[in-house]
Amino acid sequence: MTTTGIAVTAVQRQFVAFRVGADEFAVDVGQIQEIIRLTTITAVPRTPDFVEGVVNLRGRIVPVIDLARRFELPAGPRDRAARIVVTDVDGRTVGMIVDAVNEVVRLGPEAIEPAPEVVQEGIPTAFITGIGKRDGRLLIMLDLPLVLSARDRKALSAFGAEDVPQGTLA
Amino acid sequence: MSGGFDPREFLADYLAESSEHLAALEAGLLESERLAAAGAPPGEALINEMFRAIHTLKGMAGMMGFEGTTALAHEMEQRLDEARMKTRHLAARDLAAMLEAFDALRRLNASVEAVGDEASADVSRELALVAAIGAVEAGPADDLFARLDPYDQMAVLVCAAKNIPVLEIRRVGPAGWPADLAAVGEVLAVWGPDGPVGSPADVPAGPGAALLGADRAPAEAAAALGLAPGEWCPAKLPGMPAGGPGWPSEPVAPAAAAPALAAPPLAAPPASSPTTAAPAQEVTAERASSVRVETARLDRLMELIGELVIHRTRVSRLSADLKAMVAAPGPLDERRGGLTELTASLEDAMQAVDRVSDELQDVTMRVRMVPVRTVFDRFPRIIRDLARTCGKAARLETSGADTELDKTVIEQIADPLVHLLRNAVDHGLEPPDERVAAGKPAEGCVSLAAAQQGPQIVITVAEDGRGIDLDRVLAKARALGWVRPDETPADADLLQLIFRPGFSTAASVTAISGRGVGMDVVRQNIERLGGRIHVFSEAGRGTRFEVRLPLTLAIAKALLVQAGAHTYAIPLAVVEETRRVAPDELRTINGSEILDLRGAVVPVVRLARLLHRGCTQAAGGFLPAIVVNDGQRRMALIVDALVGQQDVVVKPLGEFLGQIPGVGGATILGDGRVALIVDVPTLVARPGTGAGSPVLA
Repeated sequence: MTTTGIAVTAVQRQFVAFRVGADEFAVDVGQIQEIIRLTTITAVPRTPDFVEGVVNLRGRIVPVIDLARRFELPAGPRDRAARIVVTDVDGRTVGMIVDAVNEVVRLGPEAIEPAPEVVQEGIPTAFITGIGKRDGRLLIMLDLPLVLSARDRKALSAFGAEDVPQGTLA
Repeated sequence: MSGGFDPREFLADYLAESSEHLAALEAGLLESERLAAAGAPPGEALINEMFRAIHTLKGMAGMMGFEGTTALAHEMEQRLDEARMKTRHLAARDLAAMLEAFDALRRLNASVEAVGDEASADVSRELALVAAIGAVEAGPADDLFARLDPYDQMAVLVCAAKNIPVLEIRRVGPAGWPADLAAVGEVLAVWGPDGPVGSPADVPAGPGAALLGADRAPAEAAAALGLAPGEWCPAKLPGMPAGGPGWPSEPVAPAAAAPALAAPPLAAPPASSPTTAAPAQEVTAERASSVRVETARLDRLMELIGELVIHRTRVSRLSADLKAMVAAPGPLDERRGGLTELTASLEDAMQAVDRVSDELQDVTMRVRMVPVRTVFDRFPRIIRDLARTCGKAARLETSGADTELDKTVIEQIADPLVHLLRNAVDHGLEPPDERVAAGKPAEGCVSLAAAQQGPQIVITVAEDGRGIDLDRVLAKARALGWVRPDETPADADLLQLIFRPGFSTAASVTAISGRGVGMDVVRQNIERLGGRIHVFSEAGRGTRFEVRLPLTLAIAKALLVQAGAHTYAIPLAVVEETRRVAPDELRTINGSEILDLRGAVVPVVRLARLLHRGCTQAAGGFLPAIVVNDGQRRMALIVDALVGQQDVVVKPLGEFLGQIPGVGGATILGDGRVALIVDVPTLVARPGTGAGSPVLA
C-alpha cells in the first residue's frame, strides 16, 4: 500500500446515496450490510407505526423500518426501484425501506457541511450529521445509530400496552 | 513452541476437561466435609475419586505449562494420596484448607479461560495451607495431643495439671519459628513437614506445628512470640475445658476465640466473611464454546447422513428417469404404467427422506443437550458458603440432575438460579433459633429439582422458610401506586408483583430484597430463554419458585393459525385443545367476551383484533378457538382458520424490536415468509408479567 492510498482512504469516505420522497440521503458504506429488493414483510404488532415488520434475510429475522414514516415524509409509491437498505450498526441489523438507491459516492470532508439548524420540515435535525454536496445535489447525511436507536426503543416500550385490553382478564 | 507441539491448540480441550475435574473435586471435598461434620471419615471410593480428578488435572496442567495449577494440584494430590494410603486422616480443618486451595485452582482456571494464561495469580498462600496439612502426621489432625507418644502426652498433662497453659502453634510457611519458643515456656512437641522432630531447630523450612507449655497466659505468650491471631490457639486437652483450668479469666484474643480447634487456625476463617465467600458464588456461565458429545450420538448422526445420501441419490435418479420418460417420443398415454410406477417410487423415496431428516433433527438437537448437573454441581458450595455468611443452617437437596437441557439454556440459567438460591438462604430461611421457636428443624432445607414435563423442563427452587409476607407486598404495591387503595388483588396476583421492575430494588420490604438484583432481572433472564417463572408461597411454610424452560430453544412444535391477514404460530406446549365454537357459546360480561367451556368460564381473545389495531376478523358462524393454558391462566384464542401443526425453528426478533408483549419470536415458513410466534403469557396484560401495563387494573 502506498502512502497516497492511505491518505485517500483516510480523507475520502464512501457513502451510499438513496432517495426517500423528494430528499436524497447518504449513509457511510461501513454501516451498510447489503441492499435487497422489497420482499414480503410480516407486520409485527405493538410496535410504532414506522416499524414495517420483519423479513427473512437468508434465515435471519431482520426488522424493517419505513424511513419515510420515520421522518414523517410523504410516502412515495413503492415501485420496482424500492429497496431495503440493510444496515449493521453496533452489531444490530435493521433494514430501512427507501424509494430508490442511487449510487455510491466518494466525499471528502470539504464536500460535507455541518447540519444547518433547519433542514427540511419533518426531518428532525438530530438525525442529521451534515449535508454533503455533490454535483449541485444536496445529500442529507444520516446519523444511523440515532435514527435506529434509543428513541425507537423508548417509543417501543411506551407502546405495546395501549391496545391491550384490561379488565376481567387482568 | 519447539518440537511442533503448541499447547495453545488444546486450550479449549483443557478448559472443558479441567472444569469437569474441578467439579468432581469440589463435589468430593464438600461431601467429605459433610461426612467429617458428622464425625465420619470420607470413604475410600470418595477419596479415590478426588485423587483421580486432581491427578488428571495435574497432568493436564503440567502439559500446558500452567505452573501454579500444577504445583497446587501436586500438593493436593499428595495429601489425597496419603489419605488414600490411609497414612492420613482428612479432618474438617484440612478439608477447609483443601477447599481454599480448590478456590485458587478455580481462579487459575478462570484466568486461563479469560486470558489463556494463569496470569500472575499468586497461590503461595494456598500452597502453604495444603502443605501445612502435611506438617502434621497421620492421625486425627484436630488433636495434636492424641498424636503424641505416651511420654510426651504425660508431659503435656503434667503441664495442664500444674495450670500451665498449653499453646498449639502452627506455622504455615517457611518463615521460621518465632525467635525463641523456649524463652516463653517449655517446648513439649514439634512437628515438621515429615513428622515429629526433636526441637524447633530441627524443622528446616516449611510448615510445622508445636505444643508449647507457656509460662504465662496464652494470649500474653502468643504476643511475646509475635504470633498473629490464627497462628496459635490454646491446645485442647482430654478431660479439660478448652480454656484449661489455670486461666479462667483469660482475656481471649479475638481470633483465638473459644472453639479453638474446631475452627481452622491456619487460615483466616474461611467463608465466614462475605469476601472469602465471594469467589465461589460467582458462578459465571462458563463460556461454552464446545459441547462434549457421546460417541454413540455422533455415530448415529453419521449413519443418518449416510442414509440421507443414499435416498438423495435415489431421488435424483428417479427424477432423471421421470424426465427422460416424459421427454421420450411417442404418445404419453402409452407410458402411463411406467410413469405411475416411477411416481410411486419417488413418493417412497421422499418418505424415506422425510423420516431420515426428522431423525436427523432429533439427534442433532440431542447433541446440544447437556445434563443440568453441570450447573447443579456448583450449588452445594454456594449454599454452604452462603449459609455460613448469613448465619443460617441450610442443606441443599437436589434431584433430577440428569435432566438434559439445551446447552444455550444451561449456560444462561446458572445466574438466575444462583439468585433464587441466594434469596432462599438469605431471605427465605429464618435463623436457626427462629426456626426452632416455630417448631421447625434448626437446619433449613433448600431444594433444587429438575424434571422434564412434556416439552418443558421444570426447575424448582424451594425452601421451608417463612414465606413471603403478602401484607407487606400489598402495602408496597399500594405505595408504588400499582394497586388502588380500594382493591385487594388475589394472593396469586399479588405474588407475581415481586417480578415487576421497581419492586425489589426499592426499600427492602419483602422477603425478597436487597442484593442489588431484583426479581425482575431474574424473570427477564428466564423469559429471554423462552421460559417462565412462577412463585408460590405460604406463610410460615416456605416459598417455591418454579422455572419452566423449553427443552430446546431451537425447535418447537407449534400450531399454525390464520387470523386476519396474518399467520401465527402458537406453541403446542400451551395448547390445551382446539374446538369450534358456536356464536351462542360466547357471552359478553362487562364488555369482555367469555366462553363457557363445559361449565368453566374462559376469557376470549380475538387474536388478530388484539394484536393488530383495526384488523377485523370474521364474526358469526362457527369459529375455530384454541384453548391455551400457560400454567397460570386459560384463555380461548379465536382465529379465522387452523392451518396445521408443524415443527418451527424459533428465531428471536432481535434487539431492535426488543420484547414485544404477546410475541415470543418468529419462525420462517416453508414458503420463506416469516410467521410470528404467539407468546401466550404476555398476550394479555396481567400484573407481574404485563410488560408496560402501567396500573394493575
